[in-house]
Amino acid sequence: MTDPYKILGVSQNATDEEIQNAYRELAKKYHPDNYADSPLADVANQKMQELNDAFDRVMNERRLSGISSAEKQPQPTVGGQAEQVGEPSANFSRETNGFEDIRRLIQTNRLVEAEELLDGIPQNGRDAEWYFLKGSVYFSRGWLDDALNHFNTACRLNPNNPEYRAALNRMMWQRQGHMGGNPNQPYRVPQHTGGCSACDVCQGLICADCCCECMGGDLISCC
Amino acid sequence: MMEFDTYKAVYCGLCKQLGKAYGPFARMTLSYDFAFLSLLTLGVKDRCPAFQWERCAANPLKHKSCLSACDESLFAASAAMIMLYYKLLDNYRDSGFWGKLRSLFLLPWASRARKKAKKRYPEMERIIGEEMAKQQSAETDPNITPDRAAEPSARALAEITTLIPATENERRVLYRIGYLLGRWVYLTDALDDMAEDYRHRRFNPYLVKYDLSRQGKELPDLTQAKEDAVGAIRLTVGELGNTYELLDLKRYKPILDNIIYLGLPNTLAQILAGKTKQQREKEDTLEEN
Repeated sequence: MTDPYKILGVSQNATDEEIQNAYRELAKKYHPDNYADSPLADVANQKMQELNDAFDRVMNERRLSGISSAEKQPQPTVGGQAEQVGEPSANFSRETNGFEDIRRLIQTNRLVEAEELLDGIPQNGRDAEWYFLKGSVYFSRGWLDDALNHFNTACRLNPNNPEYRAALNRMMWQRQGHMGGNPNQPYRVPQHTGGCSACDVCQGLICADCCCECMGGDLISCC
Repeated sequence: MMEFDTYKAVYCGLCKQLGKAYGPFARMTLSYDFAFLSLLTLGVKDRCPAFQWERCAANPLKHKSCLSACDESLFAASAAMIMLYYKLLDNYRDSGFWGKLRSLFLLPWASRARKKAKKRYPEMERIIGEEMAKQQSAETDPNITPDRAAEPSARALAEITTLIPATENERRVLYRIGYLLGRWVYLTDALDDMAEDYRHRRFNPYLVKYDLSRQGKELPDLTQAKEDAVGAIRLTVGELGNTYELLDLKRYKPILDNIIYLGLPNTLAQILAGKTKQQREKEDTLEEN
């Protein structure tokens, strides 16, 4: 069985607070909302489940051996039940229009069949949900421009649907240059908004040296 | 700092492997993409890769720590050779007289290298060959969009990554990483080469999208087309980061993090700062001297 401390990325001597912080950071990363439209939603869900299990094990072990100073056991903040999480729109109430079967095909990565069914629907039957699902097919395939355009149309046709809005917002945020999983700047805007620390300078130089070297040069000869 | 020593060692190891498996000229094709691919495949491997001290081919006075020849470096080197052959073919087709001459000069050697790689990895060669043929026909389609134009390159790299031994889930994650990386390379080239493609009447998906076929000597306003390309590249790298986080890396996460979260966006920033490929390469040569 994998070491739960390794999954959380902390040492065995870490304090409870360190463990909880590590859990929170990883939970933000693997949160189902980040992978709602992804063809790898189930992989993310498994990782979330592993994380929750590791956290439970560590905290239980500590409580039983008296290491933990926490009076109350903190509960994992993100539910990891397989049937709820890992589906597109698990957290939203869905307005469906008989597209259930197409949704299921997309969730199980049967994109060709899903697209055939979608394309079979005549123009007058193509509502917001149709555009959202077509966009999801494109997103899974990697045609991100087309996905964005379709999510845009879905939101235009149904501005109140939170599922379509969330998908569109996520892509618009990424399009501006934000990278969610960045361990250096978790979920904050990594802009050059004035001021840079010694760390930023060093990091920048190392990166420049790295890129330089891979082109055959050497910016900093000692590293 | 140790991680960058490791990155350099993998890079050096790939150089050695290219020379060993495909002749000395192969070393000159060493690129960023395949060093990254090497690192990725080594990162998911169960057993630790081995390193050794060797003389540098480019500078025989230096001894460097090099990744030892292994399945992973041979794999990456072979993929590089096959892709190179098809790229040269493509260049030959798209170029004027001097470009054709240059490509012709290199093609016989590249063709031999590709045949060798094909013997070692027949499946990989078949996949790349098929996708490059699709690239050719995609570029003659008047309704082509950037997404569709990037697809063959993206799928080529995606299929290559699935040839790496891995668990079922890892393979799915690697496929998507390969796809998005191939797409990133294609779109970044399309952005970088937009002005030159216009001048030489070469195919560029953004010139097609914005209906910018060459009319006269003056370069038209490419701002909108470029902004569109930048948006698409950022979307791609964002999703690449998201997907990469699902990988169970046994080692090299810090280096790979730096490449994905700093290196790739930095390349885009360099292009936007107006540095052409030649300028970036020139600066690197001056640094070396």
